[in-house]
Amino acid sequence: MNRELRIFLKHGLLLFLALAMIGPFLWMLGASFKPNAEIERLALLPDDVHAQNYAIVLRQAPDPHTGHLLNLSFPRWYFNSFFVAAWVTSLQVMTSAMAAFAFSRLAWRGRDTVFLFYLGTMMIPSIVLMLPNYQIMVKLGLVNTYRGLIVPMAFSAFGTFLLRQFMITLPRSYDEAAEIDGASALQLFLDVILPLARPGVVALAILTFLGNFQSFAWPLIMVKDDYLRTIPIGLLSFQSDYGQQTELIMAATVMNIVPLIALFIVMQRQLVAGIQMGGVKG
Amino acid sequence: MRSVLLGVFGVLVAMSVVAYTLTPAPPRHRTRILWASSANPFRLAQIERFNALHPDLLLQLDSSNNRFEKIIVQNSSGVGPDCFDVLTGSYLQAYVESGVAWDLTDRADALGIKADRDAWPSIHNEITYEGRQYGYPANAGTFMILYNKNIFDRRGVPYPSEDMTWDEFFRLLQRVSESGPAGPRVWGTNAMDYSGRMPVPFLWKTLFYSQHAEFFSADGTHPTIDTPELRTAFRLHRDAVFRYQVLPTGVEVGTMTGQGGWGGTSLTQFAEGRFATVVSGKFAIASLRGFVEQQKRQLERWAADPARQAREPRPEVLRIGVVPLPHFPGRPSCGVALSQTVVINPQSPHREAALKFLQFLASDTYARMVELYGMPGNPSKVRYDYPVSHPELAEHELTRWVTRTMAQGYQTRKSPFLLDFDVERVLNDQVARLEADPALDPDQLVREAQQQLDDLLQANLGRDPRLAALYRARSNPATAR
Amino acid sequence: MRRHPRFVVLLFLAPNLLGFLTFTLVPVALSLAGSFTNWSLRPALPLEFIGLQNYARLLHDQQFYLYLYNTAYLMLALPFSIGGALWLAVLLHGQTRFRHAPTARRATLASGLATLAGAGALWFTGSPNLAYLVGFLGLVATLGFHFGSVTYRTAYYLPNFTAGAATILLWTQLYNPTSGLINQGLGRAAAWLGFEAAGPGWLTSTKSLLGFLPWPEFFNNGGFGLGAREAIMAMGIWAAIGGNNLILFLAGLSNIPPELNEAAEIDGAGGWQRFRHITWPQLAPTTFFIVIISLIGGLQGGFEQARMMTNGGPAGTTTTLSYYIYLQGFERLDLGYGSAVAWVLFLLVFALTALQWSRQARDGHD
Repeated sequence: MNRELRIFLKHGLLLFLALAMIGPFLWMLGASFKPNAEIERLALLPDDVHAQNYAIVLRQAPDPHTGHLLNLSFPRWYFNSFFVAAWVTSLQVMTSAMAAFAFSRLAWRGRDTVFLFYLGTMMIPSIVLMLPNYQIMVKLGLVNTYRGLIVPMAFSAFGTFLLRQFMITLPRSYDEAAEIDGASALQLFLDVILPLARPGVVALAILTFLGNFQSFAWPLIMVKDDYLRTIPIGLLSFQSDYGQQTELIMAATVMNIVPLIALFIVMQRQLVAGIQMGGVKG
Repeated sequence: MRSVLLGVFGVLVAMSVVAYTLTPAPPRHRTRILWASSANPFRLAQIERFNALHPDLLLQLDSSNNRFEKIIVQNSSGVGPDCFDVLTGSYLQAYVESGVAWDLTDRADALGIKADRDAWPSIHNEITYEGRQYGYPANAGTFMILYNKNIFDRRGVPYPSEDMTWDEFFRLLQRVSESGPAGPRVWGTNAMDYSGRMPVPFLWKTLFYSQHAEFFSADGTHPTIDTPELRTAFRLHRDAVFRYQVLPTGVEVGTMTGQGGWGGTSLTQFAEGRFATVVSGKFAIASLRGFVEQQKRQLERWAADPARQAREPRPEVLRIGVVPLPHFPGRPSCGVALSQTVVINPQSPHREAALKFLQFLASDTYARMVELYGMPGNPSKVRYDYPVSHPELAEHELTRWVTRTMAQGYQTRKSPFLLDFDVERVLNDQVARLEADPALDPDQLVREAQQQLDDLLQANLGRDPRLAALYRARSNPATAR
Repeated sequence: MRRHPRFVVLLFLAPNLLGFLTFTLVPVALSLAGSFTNWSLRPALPLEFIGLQNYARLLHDQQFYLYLYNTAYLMLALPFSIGGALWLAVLLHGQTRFRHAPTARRATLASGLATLAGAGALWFTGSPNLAYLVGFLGLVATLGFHFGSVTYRTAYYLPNFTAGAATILLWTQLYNPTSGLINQGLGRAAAWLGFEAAGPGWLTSTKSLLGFLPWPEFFNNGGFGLGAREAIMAMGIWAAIGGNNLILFLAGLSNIPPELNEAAEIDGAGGWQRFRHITWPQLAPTTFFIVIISLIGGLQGGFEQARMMTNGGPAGTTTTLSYYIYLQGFERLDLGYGSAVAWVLFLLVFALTALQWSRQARDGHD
């Protein structure tokens, strides 16, 4: 019983912390049902419930300012965000895992020096790299294409570093056993190390996917055509020089993040699943 | 593991196929013109009309925006939009200096978009730089005082008059400011600039322009900051905040807003009744119309619900009046004139087609569409007879006053030796200090700003020998070649 | 251990290295070269090699020192955000479900019913906002009793989903010196303790906790107190505790073989001892990663807040180096100088990282 009581108290503590964390979400959800005239008010809930914000965003109702349907294509933008993030995540996890394997499980001269150098490039503020990077994209003809959104993001020192940290903790005995069995480096990578580094891989996948789904600066300068926009760029449709339709931004954001939250729940369960994988099977 | 990898790869390939099949084909038989402009709700109708008039052209909006960095980065790499909006003369200067604005001077006359014939004289410095023309306005305007009649009526204070001095204006505002338990509940006036960021107070600038003052000497070689005009502007700005207490500081507005300092907030706060007046322009109409509609709906709901009537006061529907900016004793009212200038990318393969769009902006057809919320770029295209949809917003009165103030307004001169951005940033920093600490001496702040800007100008000259040569030629015409 | 053949190493490195060279190394080299030139976005300005001029200018740039100080000061929040995330990860990784199924069922049911009753009562007595808040929290509690830590991990990660407009908006309201929830709470607490004091100015104030030190005048120091910098730090800690650091620590914890803990438990080791002797050393690579990434992020940080919340003010106290680089490069069009600032920043981060690196390498050989 003592133990059960402790768990109960723990829940109390966790709930107290949750109170601080879910505030903005609650406000956003409430604001997505507010009319524009109420956006400035502090109250969480609208006085005059305005579910048509969602209809306007989905082009089922006209914009109150002009009486026209807004020029939006959220289904397409949503697909784009998902599509780009899925490609980036898969590529980045794969290239990072392979490089991390080379930096942690393979023995070669100058390994740590090269790695430190790799790491060093992360320390240069990305703002100064934006222009040269953009010019490279122009040279490669990747501006205003899906590839331009995906390819430069597929390689990351961050992911390599992260997975390296997970791979160096694994006992050497695995490699030796695999070597005795006559397994090649590729087999060692695919069949032993990658499954064992699963918590790291899943964590990287979550971070990359969510980060990319919400990335703003790079798509903003890369995309010109409407059909290539991702959601964060699409949200700019509600901002004009004459003001911003915050309630529509909130409605669109709620629709944007609810599936992401579901995905997050599914993916982070894999994090926990790592315990069984790492312990029992290994 | 291998099957997982193959599965992921399969899904990705399938999605790619979908993505590429759904890619729209480029329009055939039509030249596409991309216009980087904001997502103004009225744009769609304007674009539709242009496309209907030009069956060989297809104008499209790139509202993923007209941000400065994006335009500069894209254009300097040769892949910018075909044309884009420039919101103030300071930006035009920066675009021209970055070589991303097409010089139209020699063609303008033939196209019917000539600056000194077909546009308001007061916005010349908005569409031209160093004597060259770079664009045509999609919209022009000035600042005026919009006041909330409900608040003045409630307090029994007379409306602002057409001919007030700044001092009289602040005293009047003191009478309508209502103090609540936590600071004033209704502020006198709101004069904030938003560019998608934290509000930046601009009353000091309005006061400066009110004296028809300039930031640079006539030849552009000296920033004229430590001047009586700017000292007056700083002092009066401080008085409005601390002595009359009618103006909140930028930070106060930033923390009181519901939108966390995003565009349009000053108007929303004004419409909500938190400010008795706002320094704004005719463009305010665009957002106020929607606001008034919602307020009317709330009134209807209130009227239909007796329980609510017992609980809440009758909701107000905004009624506004408009007067020109106050003036200094012995001087006429004067203010800055602005334009939203459309500029063409010189590297665009469709730049000739984009000229057609500039001509459209100068046409009567366009003027009739823009007058609903703004001013046509050409004074001869102004009419007063468009249908009024919201009489409570004093729509015709607004048009009449913009026309008059456009005639009195001006745009400050720019200097090739120092970007206007730098002047603004240095002065805004000083104003922030002024607002944070009433004990600081405004004269001292102005002197410091002068010193900083002199240093910056010298640094610019040091970086660019050509600029230095131009500087020598201008500051000493006798020795110039 | 035997050396691996070079082509095997290259095979594994190639995909990443290829992209890395193209999209990172080339721009990096260009920006380094640019920092020795008058690189500008003005095409009228011919590109010229100017040697160390940008760096010399930087040495005499008072603002640079202020912004460097701001950046370093904001980084004082890092230990709290890392430590907080670690604490929370250990908490969430431990047992969060009741041992007995009936207890769990009863707790879930009781919590659900209490939520319905409480929220319903509030709703019908005319406080719908409170009902909404209580209802949502009750929902989290109920889900928490039923599903365990998954519920809380998701709840804590929410700030990362709502990042941007909603978050910034809420915090600016919370920080309002007069009507904000924080100062109202402080005011009430002060009144209860029997004294009266003006609340901190938060985003409106140039004060800081180190403000009592004799900083040079151009630091625009408002003296000792809580100001804009502390406001930004608190917000950063709030967003970081439940965010990516938590995910990474949880992944690190999952990587520890459970047998280690089980064995220690059988040996009678207490919670703290197990943390000290098993969790902490086993987690070292993850912690090291988070520390390095946080250092890098911290030195490049403060950009969003400066741009969206404070404009770098009041009086430059929340302008960080990354925001300064942006201002120099894209508002003053002086990319050469911006790059020089970036490279000085790089040297700082690199030195700090190398220090950490050698310490870790030394500890690793123990």
